[in-house]
Amino acid sequence: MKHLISLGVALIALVCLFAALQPNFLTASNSVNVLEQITINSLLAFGMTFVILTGGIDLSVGSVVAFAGMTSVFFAAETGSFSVGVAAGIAAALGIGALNGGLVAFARLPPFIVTLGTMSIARGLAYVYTWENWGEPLYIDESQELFRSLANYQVVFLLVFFVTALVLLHFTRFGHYTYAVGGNREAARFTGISVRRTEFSVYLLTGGLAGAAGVLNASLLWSADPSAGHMYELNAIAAVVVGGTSFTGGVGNLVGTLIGAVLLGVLSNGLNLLNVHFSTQYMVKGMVIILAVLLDALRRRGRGND
Amino acid sequence: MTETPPPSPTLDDSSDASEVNRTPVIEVRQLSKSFPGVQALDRVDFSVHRGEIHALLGGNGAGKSTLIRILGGIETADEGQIRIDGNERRELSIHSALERGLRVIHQELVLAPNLTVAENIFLGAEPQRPLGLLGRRTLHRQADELIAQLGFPLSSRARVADLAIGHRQLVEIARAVSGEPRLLLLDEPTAALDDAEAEQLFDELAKLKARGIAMIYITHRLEEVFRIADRVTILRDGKSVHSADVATLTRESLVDHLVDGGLASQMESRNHKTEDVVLESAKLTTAHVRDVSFSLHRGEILGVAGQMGAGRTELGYALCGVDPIRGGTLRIGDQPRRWRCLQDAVQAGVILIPEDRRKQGFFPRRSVAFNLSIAEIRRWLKLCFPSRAQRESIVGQAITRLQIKARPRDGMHVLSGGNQQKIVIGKWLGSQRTVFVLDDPMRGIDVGAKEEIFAIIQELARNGAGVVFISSEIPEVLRISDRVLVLRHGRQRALLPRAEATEEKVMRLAAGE
Repeated sequence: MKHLISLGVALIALVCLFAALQPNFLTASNSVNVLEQITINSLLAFGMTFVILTGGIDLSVGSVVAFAGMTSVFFAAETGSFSVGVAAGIAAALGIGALNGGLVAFARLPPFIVTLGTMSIARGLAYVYTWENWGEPLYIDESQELFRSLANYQVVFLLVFFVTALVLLHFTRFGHYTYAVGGNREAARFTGISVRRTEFSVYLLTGGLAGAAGVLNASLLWSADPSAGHMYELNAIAAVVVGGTSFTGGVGNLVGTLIGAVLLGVLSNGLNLLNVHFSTQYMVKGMVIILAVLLDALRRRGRGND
Repeated sequence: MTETPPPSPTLDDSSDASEVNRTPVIEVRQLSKSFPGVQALDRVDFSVHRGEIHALLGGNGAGKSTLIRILGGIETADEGQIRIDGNERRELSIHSALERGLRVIHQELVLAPNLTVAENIFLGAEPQRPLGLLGRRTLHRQADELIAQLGFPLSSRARVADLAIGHRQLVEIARAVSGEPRLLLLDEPTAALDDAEAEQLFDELAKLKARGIAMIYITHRLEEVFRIADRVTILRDGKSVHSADVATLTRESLVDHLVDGGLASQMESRNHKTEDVVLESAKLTTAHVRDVSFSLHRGEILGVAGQMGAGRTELGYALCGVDPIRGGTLRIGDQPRRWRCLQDAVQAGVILIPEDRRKQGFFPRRSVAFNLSIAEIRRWLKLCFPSRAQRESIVGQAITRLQIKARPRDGMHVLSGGNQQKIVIGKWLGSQRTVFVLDDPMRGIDVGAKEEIFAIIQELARNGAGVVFISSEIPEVLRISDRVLVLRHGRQRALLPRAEATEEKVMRLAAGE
């Protein structure tokens, strides 16, 4: 709770700072802008929150964004049906999620290694669609108007997914099991919780959300690029970590993740408006991530219980 | 309260030999430490002299662990003094504690399992060769010398992971001794040892004592105080309530000091055993136990005794679906069952309270309420509609019924071992369960809380569950069980009715005589 408050204060301070430096920052259109810019990262970060809460990690989500995007655009073009395209994209992403979940939960392999592998596999699969034309993007043509307009409702998607994830985490048994598995795997097992099923579901969920993000990303650009989603997994992890979710599992929540994503979004938007060179932007972002975790660690140590 | 004469301030640099001997190796005066909401230590006094084994005996949350942490330099006291050889120190860092010759042997062993015995003994103090290379040969030779000197049955080249837990303890002690300590702090060193290993440990400690090493020996076992300690200080609620020479004490007087108001040790008469069989095991066999046969009645407490490694825990694992059953049959009620996993057993109402509370029992970073309500989640969370009222009532009932000294929102880490254990048991009380298998539930719990846990276990039986009570302590088993099953090498040695089970007999059977 305290982390959320300090995070909120930091966000407000940042907003005030940018508002003072740049009059165009605090306008309605720019606010919507920020929300649109953070939607895709937020979707990934919501899933990542579940994974990290169980004590795992999913490095494959960036590649899944590309794979799902390519799949949806390809099938939408082939069948002429927008819904078939979207369904195919999401299904592809769920497939990777299931692979991750299966290898982590049932084969008991370390999540870092598993998703490092599937990160490469999903990237490769995204390039399969460009077998003949060496990495060219697939374009969404004018006939797919619905597909192209999907991205206009980004903010709606952001809210819907946020609320759904929130309900899932706090109002379902699955959510409580997620905390339990991350809090103490063995104790969860002795409580009669199916650790495997919970873990599997968590990776499946993350895959699905990455699929949705991939579809949105394609809609946004009117095309799917096999190299899309580069470094997205790391941005998602950054939002989760800034949001106060513990890497050891069992502690954290989605509100923190959302604020973390907004904070990183505001930061990059504000620095852009101020024409700060992107080399500086990268460094500032890195420092913010470390600072957030550092402050949290110091606060916790100061309280005397670790 | 203490009988230690306060040394005069001029005593410090005395060169008189008798004066030196009278200066305690360590003296703690008016030491206080509080955590949010808890006064962990409240003006504690005690002192330890050269060649003395000083037992610290204390109740639930009496502050023993906090004291160890302060003396080991992990925590800092709020107030009070620690004098080492008469020199006052307000606080200790881990480093300065080491420098002063203080060595702590923690309850949970801190060894590197993949390294050899020798490497562990000299970890952090390896003999160096030029260029910073490790002198392996020197390392092993020095380790061999030390082991021979101590007379420990260890091989310097063995990998620690391959050692029995009792031998690991000896490695830990050898490591502490290698630094020429002046004061050893031992935090419940026998908690994980069987009787033979414990006896051996006592012999080794006596040798160290003869070398003039002072020891603070933390324990919750009264017998050990009489077995090895010279003096004892009793802690209660963070205060040092009594210090005395062990020779002047009796078991009864110790218990009276330990539990406020002198909790009587008599038990109400029990025997809630009925004719209904809730669990029947016929020639049950897993990878670790063989041919175990017994039937457990509703309301019965079946004690399981055996030495370390006799398969006590593994019998619990066999009954509850942790280890797959390879032979024989298991019936719950009149249904034959073959668990695929723990979850199957839990769903059938067969509950295991695992041995390692911290690692297997609870969720340390979550609240008391979470811990008490997670097992009953199906009752208060249907689809996505949690019932807060229902959840609160489940949590509240467990807290009142088991007299857990905590609020629902407290974090588990601030609770004492006894309260944690109550929560691990309490989370199952929301529904009727058929069988409880408790694996050494009194482990690391003080006398006062033990009484309460005994009462809770009897209540489980009275309420119609069958109870399998596994313990490393034979007196505990005898005290509460209707029948006693004795294991040795994974096999059933005997199944004794209560009247025939004497401590001596059970011990002999367990030892294979």
